[in-house]
Amino acid sequence: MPEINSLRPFMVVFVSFFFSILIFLTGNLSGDLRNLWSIIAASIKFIIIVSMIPAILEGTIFKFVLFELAPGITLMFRTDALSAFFGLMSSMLWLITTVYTIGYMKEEKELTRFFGFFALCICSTMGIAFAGNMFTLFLFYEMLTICTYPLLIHDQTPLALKVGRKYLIYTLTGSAFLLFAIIMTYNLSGTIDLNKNGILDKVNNPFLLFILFYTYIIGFGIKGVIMPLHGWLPDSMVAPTPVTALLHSVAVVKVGIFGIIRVIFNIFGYNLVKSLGLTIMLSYFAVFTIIAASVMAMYQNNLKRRLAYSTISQLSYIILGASLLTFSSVTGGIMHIAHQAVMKITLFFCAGSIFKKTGKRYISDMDGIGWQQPVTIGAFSIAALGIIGLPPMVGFITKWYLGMGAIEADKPFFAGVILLSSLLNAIYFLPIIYKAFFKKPLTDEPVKISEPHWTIVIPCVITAFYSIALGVFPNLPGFPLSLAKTAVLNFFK
Amino acid sequence: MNNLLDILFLKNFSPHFILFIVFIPFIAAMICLVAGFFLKKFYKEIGIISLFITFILSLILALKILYFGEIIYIPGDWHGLWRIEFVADYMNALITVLISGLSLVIMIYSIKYIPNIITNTGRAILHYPLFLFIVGAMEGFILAGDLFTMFMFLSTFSLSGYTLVVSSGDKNSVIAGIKYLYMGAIASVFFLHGIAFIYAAFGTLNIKLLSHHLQNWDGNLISAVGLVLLIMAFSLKTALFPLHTWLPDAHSYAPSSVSAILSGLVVEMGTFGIIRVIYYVYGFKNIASNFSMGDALLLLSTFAIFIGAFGAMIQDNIKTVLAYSTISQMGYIVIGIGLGTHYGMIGSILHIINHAIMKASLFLCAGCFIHAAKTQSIEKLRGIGKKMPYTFGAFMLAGISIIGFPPTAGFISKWYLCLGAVEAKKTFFAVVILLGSILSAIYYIKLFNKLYFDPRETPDYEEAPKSMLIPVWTLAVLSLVLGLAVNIPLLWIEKAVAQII
Repeated sequence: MPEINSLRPFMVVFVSFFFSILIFLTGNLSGDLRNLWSIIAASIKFIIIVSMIPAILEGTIFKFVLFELAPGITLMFRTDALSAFFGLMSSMLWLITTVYTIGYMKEEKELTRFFGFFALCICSTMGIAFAGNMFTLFLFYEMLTICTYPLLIHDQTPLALKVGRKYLIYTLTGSAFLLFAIIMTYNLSGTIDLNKNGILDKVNNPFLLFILFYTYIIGFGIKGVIMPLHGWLPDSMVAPTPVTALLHSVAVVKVGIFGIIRVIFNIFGYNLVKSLGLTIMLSYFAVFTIIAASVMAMYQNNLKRRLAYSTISQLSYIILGASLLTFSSVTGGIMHIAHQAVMKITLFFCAGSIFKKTGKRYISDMDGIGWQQPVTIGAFSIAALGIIGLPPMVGFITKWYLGMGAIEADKPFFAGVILLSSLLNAIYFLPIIYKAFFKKPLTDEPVKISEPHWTIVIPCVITAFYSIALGVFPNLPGFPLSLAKTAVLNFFK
Repeated sequence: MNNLLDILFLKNFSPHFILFIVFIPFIAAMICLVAGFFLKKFYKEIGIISLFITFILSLILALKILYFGEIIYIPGDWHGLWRIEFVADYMNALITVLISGLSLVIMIYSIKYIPNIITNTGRAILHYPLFLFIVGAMEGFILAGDLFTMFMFLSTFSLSGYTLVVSSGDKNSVIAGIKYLYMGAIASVFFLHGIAFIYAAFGTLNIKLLSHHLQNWDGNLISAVGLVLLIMAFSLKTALFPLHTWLPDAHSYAPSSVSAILSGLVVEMGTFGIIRVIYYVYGFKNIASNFSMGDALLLLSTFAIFIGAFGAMIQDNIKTVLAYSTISQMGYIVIGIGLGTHYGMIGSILHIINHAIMKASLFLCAGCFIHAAKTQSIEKLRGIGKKMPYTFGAFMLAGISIIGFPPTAGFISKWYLCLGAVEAKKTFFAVVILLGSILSAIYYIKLFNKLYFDPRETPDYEEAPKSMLIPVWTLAVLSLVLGLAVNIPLLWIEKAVAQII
């Protein structure tokens, strides 16, 4: 595995930081300037990451050491296949979300603060993706907490402030667990680098390793919404939809999952985890989350809350895949990071589109809306069917790999869980689509097609298109499958 | 680099400048008094210039110590048994710079602030000489090489401290100041008695000589009592649980620049004293093998962390929140002392430096808010962050640092303290430290919320004047820089800790 020193990982992180400063300084002068900086930052970032992909697929790793704070604590960036995968997905969706956000938030106040912190959030997410050691990861993890807070409470209503407080208490508790785990790791192994497949091989105490593993899981699992640590997510739907779409279904929650994958494969290592059976309990938590969150989704009338519980359920697919420790399951899990992101972001974009045009939040009000907003609801349906797992949408690919992984691990029970989950997903998604297209609208107004502004509708279409394209052509280079396979090959060495 | 500095001046710089560091503030204080009461002008400038000179001298001292090792200075060259001795070693050097630098910044801040808060012109003028007395006395305390000199300077800065607390003149501050006076006087009594016992046991008060006598301590009663009395005296001065009750009031009702120096520096003199007594005089291993003082300190500081945190959560007065936060943070420093490991001590000393800067910044920001709104109540200060964004920005930066987000200075001290706890096989205290971080996050974030995100109407306050903003931002940025550039203080601290562990 050739490692080359390159400025590119650092540039990806720094670009947003730099542009966020520009946004803060000049945003109040002109909204257009602010939008311009946001788009430019997202584009540059995406381009740099794409430039790294070909080399990553061949196995190269990009490294950049920023500087050493103190002995043992270094700020260091490292891009391997998993990082590139996560970075590619995030930056691409960020670009699309930036367009959506510009259109959606047009009439809101405090936009400089919003877009400035929006840029800082992607900076933090990239920092986590490209972190070369646990200290850098932790630094950007905390930065993400701080930067998402102003976005979450953007509306500044008393409810938003209350939700913000809850969010902070959850995430800061998680970070205390995480810091404790990092300190223990440093003490036990003398290093916190993420460049090996396991740095804890010399520790002879299985019980200690078990406790350490689950301390990490609690630390990361709060952002990664594993039940019962998920409590902050459904309430955080009070945030404006662009925030929910990107942060709470793509960026913030995925970094928790990303952290867990790093812990399993880079800190503990495949061999150690398998021999100690550390992930057995984790897989059962994942199963519980998958099923319980789907059941709770069925009871939600608020569309975004239903989607929130759906997110919680879907994220545990990734955890399940990682904890089954077979080639297919881990590949499926990692791919689902991108697949779920694309589908869920479509769903949230559509929810936002509905809210923007009609002000409706509740599913019970949404009868017949498919004929008023056919493009939006069409995109919604495609993504929903994808989550249920229908081919040719990309959700099917995930379920296929996870199912195969469960069989490979000699645990067909988990394949059953996936199937059951598809059924539950259908139970809470199909009624929405049925209502939208097959029920008469509640008011007697004449039905005419009126979609919101193109900046809101086109992103829905694009991400829905991705949901199909990734499913129909999964084998193209640079698509999730190839990157995930490269990553998993590295982990299983 | 070495050679360049050699040639420049370091090697040949007169050793007398240690005396200057201690006494320039005192002399300036006298001149300030005269200028203030007879000329009624120039007293502020005298204060600032003298502190600036002291700061430069302390920087030179620090560099000299880093390159050439300890300096022992005996005024008048009298080498008798009861001589006054000043010792500048690796730990001193850094804290000397901290004291003079931080006081300089606080004094610059107080130029605009004090006339606003202390309306009686006589008392306002008196503020500067007293402030300079505190600085000089703290420098003397730090640099002292024997226990009696320490006692002299401790009394000096304590007395000046009591006076400064009551200088704003309102009823609350008088009550707070008297409480502080009584408890501080008790501390002085403990200190003096402790010195008496130690003298009775060993016949000397010189720290270096004492550490020779105490190479293999047998734990005999007289010296043990002396140790305990000294620790109690310093614990009271540092507001360690359960001797912390004087602090919330004293620091809340003093003028904010006074609160800044009291909460940032004066309170930490106690912890410095504890380190001197436990590590330099007696030796941690000696104490640990005879009785469990380290564990007692760990227990008390755990209580301190939680009492400080819970106390801060329920306050309405912004400065009382910060005062309870100080009690909590002193708990962290003492945990590091009680652990007695390499990383624990590094964490302690780092936190002494970092906390001084962060807490001073917080108190000065609070002072800016109070200056504008004429109230200390958080309820009445709601939303003020929106009208005074620059001040609030610094407040948030310092607050984020104290909570312990990487890569700020507060995070680095907590990192080392936790590593120290794990190193000492006392992982429970790492959990305590992290739990304390969560609790402090709770009350600081509550404070930020109230000050900035409160949606109700706020009157139009004016942003703080530049002479108050620049000190505040300097300290806030420093708390971030000290986190990123922690290698610089570590140059001294690593060597200091290597000597005592």
